[in-house]
Amino acid sequence: MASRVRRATFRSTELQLLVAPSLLMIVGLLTIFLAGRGEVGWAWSDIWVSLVYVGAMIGISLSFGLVGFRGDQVILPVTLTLAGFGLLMIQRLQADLTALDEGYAGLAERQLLYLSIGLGLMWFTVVVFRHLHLLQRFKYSALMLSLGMMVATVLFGREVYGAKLYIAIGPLQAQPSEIAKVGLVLFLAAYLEDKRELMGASYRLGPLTLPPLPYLFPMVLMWAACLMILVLQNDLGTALLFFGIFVTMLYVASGRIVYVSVALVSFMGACWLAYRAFGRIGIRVQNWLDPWQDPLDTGLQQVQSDYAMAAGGFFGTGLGLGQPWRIPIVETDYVFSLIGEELGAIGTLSVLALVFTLVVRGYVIALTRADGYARFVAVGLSTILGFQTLIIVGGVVRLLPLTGITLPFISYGGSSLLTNFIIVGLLLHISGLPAREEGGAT
Amino acid sequence: MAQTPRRHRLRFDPPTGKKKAKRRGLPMAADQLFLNRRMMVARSALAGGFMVLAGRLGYMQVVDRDHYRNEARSNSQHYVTTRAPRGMIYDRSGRVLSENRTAWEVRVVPDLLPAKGTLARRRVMDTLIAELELPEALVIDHRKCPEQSQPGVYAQVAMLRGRVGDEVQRSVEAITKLAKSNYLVLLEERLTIEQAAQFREAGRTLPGLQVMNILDYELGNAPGSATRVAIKTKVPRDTALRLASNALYLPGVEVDGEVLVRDYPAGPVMAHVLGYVGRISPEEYAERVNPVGTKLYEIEDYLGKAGLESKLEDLLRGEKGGRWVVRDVNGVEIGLVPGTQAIPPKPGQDLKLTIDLELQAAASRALAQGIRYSVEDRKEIGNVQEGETFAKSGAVVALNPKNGQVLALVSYPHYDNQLFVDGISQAKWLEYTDPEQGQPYVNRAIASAQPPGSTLKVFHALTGLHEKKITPETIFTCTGAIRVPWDWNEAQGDIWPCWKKEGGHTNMNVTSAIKESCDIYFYNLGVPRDKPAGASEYLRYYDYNIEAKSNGQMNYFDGLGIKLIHKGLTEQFWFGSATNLDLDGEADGVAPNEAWLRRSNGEDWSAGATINTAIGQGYFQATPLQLAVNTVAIANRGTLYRPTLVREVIGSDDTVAQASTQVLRRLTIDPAHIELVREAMRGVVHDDDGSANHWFNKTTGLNETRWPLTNPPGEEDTILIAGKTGTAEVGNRDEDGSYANQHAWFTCFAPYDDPEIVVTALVEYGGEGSTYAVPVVDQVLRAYFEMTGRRERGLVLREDGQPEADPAVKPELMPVPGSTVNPNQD
Repeated sequence: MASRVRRATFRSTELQLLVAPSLLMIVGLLTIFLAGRGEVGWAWSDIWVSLVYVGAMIGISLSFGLVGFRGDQVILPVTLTLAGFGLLMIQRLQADLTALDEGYAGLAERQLLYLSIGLGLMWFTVVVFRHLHLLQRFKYSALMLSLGMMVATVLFGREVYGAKLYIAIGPLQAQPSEIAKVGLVLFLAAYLEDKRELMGASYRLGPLTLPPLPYLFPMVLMWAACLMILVLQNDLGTALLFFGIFVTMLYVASGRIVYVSVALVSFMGACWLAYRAFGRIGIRVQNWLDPWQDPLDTGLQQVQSDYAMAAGGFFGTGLGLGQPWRIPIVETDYVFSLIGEELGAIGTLSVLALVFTLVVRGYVIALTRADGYARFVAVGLSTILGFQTLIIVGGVVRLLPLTGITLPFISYGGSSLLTNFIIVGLLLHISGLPAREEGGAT
Repeated sequence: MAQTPRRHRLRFDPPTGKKKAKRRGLPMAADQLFLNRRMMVARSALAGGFMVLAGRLGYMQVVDRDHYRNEARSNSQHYVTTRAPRGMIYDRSGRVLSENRTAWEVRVVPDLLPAKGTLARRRVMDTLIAELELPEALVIDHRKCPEQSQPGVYAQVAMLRGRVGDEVQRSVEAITKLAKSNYLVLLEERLTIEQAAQFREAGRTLPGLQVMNILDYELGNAPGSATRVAIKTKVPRDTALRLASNALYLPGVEVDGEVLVRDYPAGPVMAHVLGYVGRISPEEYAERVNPVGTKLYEIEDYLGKAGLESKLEDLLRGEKGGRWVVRDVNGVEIGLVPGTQAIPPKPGQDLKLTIDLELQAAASRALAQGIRYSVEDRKEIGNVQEGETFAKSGAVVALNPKNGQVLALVSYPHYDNQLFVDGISQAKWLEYTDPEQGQPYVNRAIASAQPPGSTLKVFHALTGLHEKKITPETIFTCTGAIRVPWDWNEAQGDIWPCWKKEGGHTNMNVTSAIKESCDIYFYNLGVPRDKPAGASEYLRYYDYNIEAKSNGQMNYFDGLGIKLIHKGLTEQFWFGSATNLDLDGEADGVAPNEAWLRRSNGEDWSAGATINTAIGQGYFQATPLQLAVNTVAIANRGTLYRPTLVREVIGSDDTVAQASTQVLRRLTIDPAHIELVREAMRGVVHDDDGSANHWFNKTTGLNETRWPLTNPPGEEDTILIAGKTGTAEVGNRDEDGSYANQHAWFTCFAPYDDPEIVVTALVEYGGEGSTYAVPVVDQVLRAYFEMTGRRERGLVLREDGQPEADPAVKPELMPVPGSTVNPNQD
C-alpha cells in the first residue's frame, strides 16, 4: 500500500468549510479583546493570532491536497472549529482568571503552543505516517505501554483536586491517561480484529451454551483495569471513558448484547461499592444529586455552573460579558458552562453538534473502510471523542456525577489537546485508506 | 428465510452495498454486514446520549431559566420593610401622651465593617466613639468567668459598686438572670474616667469584669453579623449629617434620619399607665409570630414592654410596609425591583384614654404632697415608735361611677418611662425596683394589695342588712373594747379594742357606726352565733374597759360569720379577684374564708380572724382600684362596672370606635339599704361626728374642716361628698392591740346626689386615713370640680387649663425618711 501513487488534489469542500472557523476566530478574538477593553477601535495586534490560525488551517488543507491526500473533508474543518473555539474560550478566561491568580498569566499562550504542536502532530499523522499496521503488529506493546503509564501515574502521580491524574516529567507535566486511551483503542482494535470470529462464537458444555471464556479473559482484565483506575486513581471520568470504549468495541466486534449487559451491570455494581467505600466519590455523587446541600463549599462549582447556564439562556450574555470566574476550575471541567453563559444554548448545542458530527464522520469512515483493523480503530477513536463529551457535559449539566475529564479540543490542557489531534490525525489517516468497495483486505 | 441462521435475522446492510456486492460477484463476509448493524446501534446509542444532553441543555438554559435566575437574583434583591408609625395615645381631652418623633439613628452592620484587627476598623470605631460621644461601660462577660466562681465575682463587683447588704444579693441575681440571655451584661453605661480606671484595675483580678466602650458592648451582644445594630438613637442632626457625608470612609456605618422614636411628653406621671416600648428581646422575637407562623417583628423592632403600650400592642403596632430593592455588590441600594411597587405601611391605631392628664397630674401632686405631709407631721409629733415606717408610696384612683371609666390612676413614686425607650442603665433599673426607694416600677394602684381597714365596713354593713343580720335599728353598745373569753378560762381572753378606746362610742346603729367607724359594732356584725369545735358555749364577749381593765355585760355574738362575709364580698361586691383593667400586673387581693386559709397557711379559721376581717384587716387585702370599683357600685346605687382606660380607638382611616361600658355585676341588695349606707357615708364627711369631718387644731384651738379645698369655709355651693375613712393597722401588734404602722385610706364619691367621680386614695404607712388620706382626696376632688367648672380654677389647677409640671415627680425629690425599716411589715 505504501507504494500507492498520490496525485495532488484540491480539497475544495474542506476549504469552503474552513471559512466558518476562520470567521469564528477573527470575529471571536476581536470581540473578546474589545469587550475586555470596552472599546470599539481595534488594532492588528488583536487579531494576528487569528490570522496566523487561519493561515495554518489553509496551509494544512492545501498541503493535504498537495500530497494527494483524498481522505475525509469534513473532519478537519470541524476539528479546527472546535479547537479554535477552545482557544477563544481560554483567551477569554485568561484576563478574568489572571485577576484572581497571577498563575493564570500566559494561559492562552500555552494553549496556543499546544495547539500548534497538536496541529503539527496531526499533519504528521496524516502526511508522514504511513504504517498503520505497525500499530496492529505491536498491539501488546501498546497495551503494556498504556497500562504502564497508568500504573506510573498511580505510583508517581501528582494529586490534583483529589484525583491522581498528572505525572511530572522534568518541568513538564502530562496526563498519561489521555494518551493511554489511544493505546487502549489500538490494542483492542487489533485484539478484536484477531479474535472476533472466536468471540462471536460459543461452545457447548453439556446443556450449557458458554461464551468463549479464554478469549474473553483479556476483556475481563480490561474491565478490572477500569475499576482499578476508579479506585486507585480516584478518577471516575477516565474509568467511565475506558469502560465505554471497551464496551462499545466489544459489542461492535462480538455483537453480543449479553456481554455488554453483564459488563454494564457488574461495572455499575462495582461503582456503587466504590461509592460506598470512598469518600471523594461520595461527595461527587452528593453534588450530583443535590449540590444545594453545601452550596458554598463542595457544591459551589455545580451551583455556580447552574447559575451560569441559566444566565446564558438561549442567546447567551455575549462573549466576554459573563462572570466565569465565579466557577472554580472553569478552564478545564467547566469550560462548557462558560460557553453556556456567554454563548447561550446556541453555543452549547453548536459544540455538541460539532462533536457529534465528528463522531458520525468517524463512524462513517469505519463503515466504509475495507481493512478490519482500521475500522475498529476508527470506531474506537470516534467513540473516545463521543464518550468524553458525553461524560463531561453530562457532568456539567448534572446528568452524571462530575468527573475530571476534558471536553475535546476546548478544555485547557496540553496532553488532552495533543491526544485529540493525534486521534483526528489517525481518523483522517484511516479515511485516506482504501474504501471497502475497492477490495477486501489490504 | 427459515434456513437463514438466527443471527442473520436482523441483518442490516445498505441496499447499494448489497447490489454492488452482487454485481461484482464478490461474496461479502457475513460478519462485515453484522458490523454495519452493530455500528448503527453504537451510533444510535451515542446519538441518544447527545440528544439527552441537548434536551437537558434546552431545559436548563431555556425552560428552567427563570427558576435559576430568580435564585440568583435573590442574592441581589432584598425585601426592605418600612416600619409603621405606632399609634398615638391621647388623654380624654386630646392631650398627647405618647407620640412618635423622627430622630437620627446611627447603626452598624458588623459584616460590612472592615475586618477585625485592621487599622481601618479601628479608625471607623474611633470615629464613631468620638462623634457620638460613646461612653466607657462596665460589662461582665460571663463566658470568661468559670461558672462556680460567678456568684463570688458578681458579689465582689456589686460591692465595688457600693452596694451593701441585700443589694449585693439582688445585684447578683439580676446579673445572673441577664447573663442567661446576653453574652455581655451591662452594669454601668457611663463610667467616669476615675471609675473606668478603678474597674479596669479590678478587672485584672475579677475574671469577666471588663471596661469597654459601649460600642464594643453593642457589637459584642449583636445577634448576628448581618443584622444591623443600633448604636445610638436621637443623634444630633449635625453629627448625623457629618457621619452620613463620610459614609465612604465609614464602611458598615448606617445613618438613618427617619427613625421613629417613642416619646412620652406627659412625663413620669403617666408612666404606670402607658408603660413604654423597648427593643424586642430574642425571646419575644422568636415567640411573636403570625397565625401562619411568620415572624411579626424584625430583630431591630420596638414593641410595647409594659403598661398600655404592651397590653394594646396589637392595636398600636400597625402593619409594616415594604418594597423589593436591588442592591449592588457592595450592598448599596440601587432602586426598586422593576415591576414591583412599594407597599406603604399602615399606621397603628390611635388611642384616646379615659384619663384626664390634668386630673392625673393634680392627683399625683396631691399624693406626693400627702406623703410628704405624713412624713413631716409624724416626725414633728415625735414619739417615733420602734419599727415605725414612714410613708413613701401611695396610690390614687379616680373613676367615673356612671360607666367605670378611669379618670386618674396614679401610683407614687413614678418612674421615667422615657428612660426605658432611650436605654436605661442597670443602676437606674435597680433603683426602680428597690424597696428602699419605694419600688417606683410597681403600679401600686393595681398591684399593691393591702388591708383596706375601715373602708371595708360599708360593704359589711350592706351585707349585714342584705342578709338580715342587722336592721337599721339594730343597736350594739361600744365601751371602747371587748374581751372574747378563752374557752378554758372565762376570766381571761383576747382584748379587741375600738379605735376609740377611751369611753367608746356607746350605743351605735349602723349609720352612726359607719359615720364614726365604730369597730365594736362591726365585731358584732362579723362574728356569728356559733359554737366552735370543742367549745362548750356559743361565741360571746364581755364589754371591756381598757383603762379600768374591767369587764361589763356578757353578750353572745350573732353576726354574719365568715361564710356570709365572704359571700357578700365576692358575690355581691368584687373583692378577691382582679377587675380586668387593660393593664398587666393587677393583683387579685384576698377575700379570705376558711377554705382559703387552709389552702394558703394550713391553719383553721378562728373567731379572731373573723373579727379582723370585719374591720378590713388581718388576711383581707384589696387594691386601691378594687376599692374604687366597689365604691362605684355604692355611688351609682348598685352597678359594678369594669374599669376601662380606653375611651376611643381611632383607626388609620379616622374611624372612631367608642369603647363600650362593661358591667361586671349588679348588686341584688335592696336599694333602700344602699341609700342608708350612702347617707351614712355622707355623714362621714358632713356630720359633725363623721370621721372625715373636721380636726382639732391644737395651735389655734379650733376645729378645722378636713375639706378646705373642695368645700372651703364661706363657699356657699357645698359639694356633698360621701366617703369612708380607713386606717389599716399593719406590722407588729402590741399587747393592747395597737400597731406600729398604718395605711391611710379614703374612698368616696361626689357629688352625693348624682355622683360624677369616685376617688380612692391610699398612703402606704401614712398613718390615720382621716388625717393623711383625706387631704389627698380633698385636693383631687377640688381639681376635678375646678376642671368641670363647679369650682373656680387656680387653687389647685392652673388657670390656663394646662397640666402643671409636677414638681414631685422626680424620684430624687421623693421623701426618703430615716433608715428604720420594719422587716415584719404586713
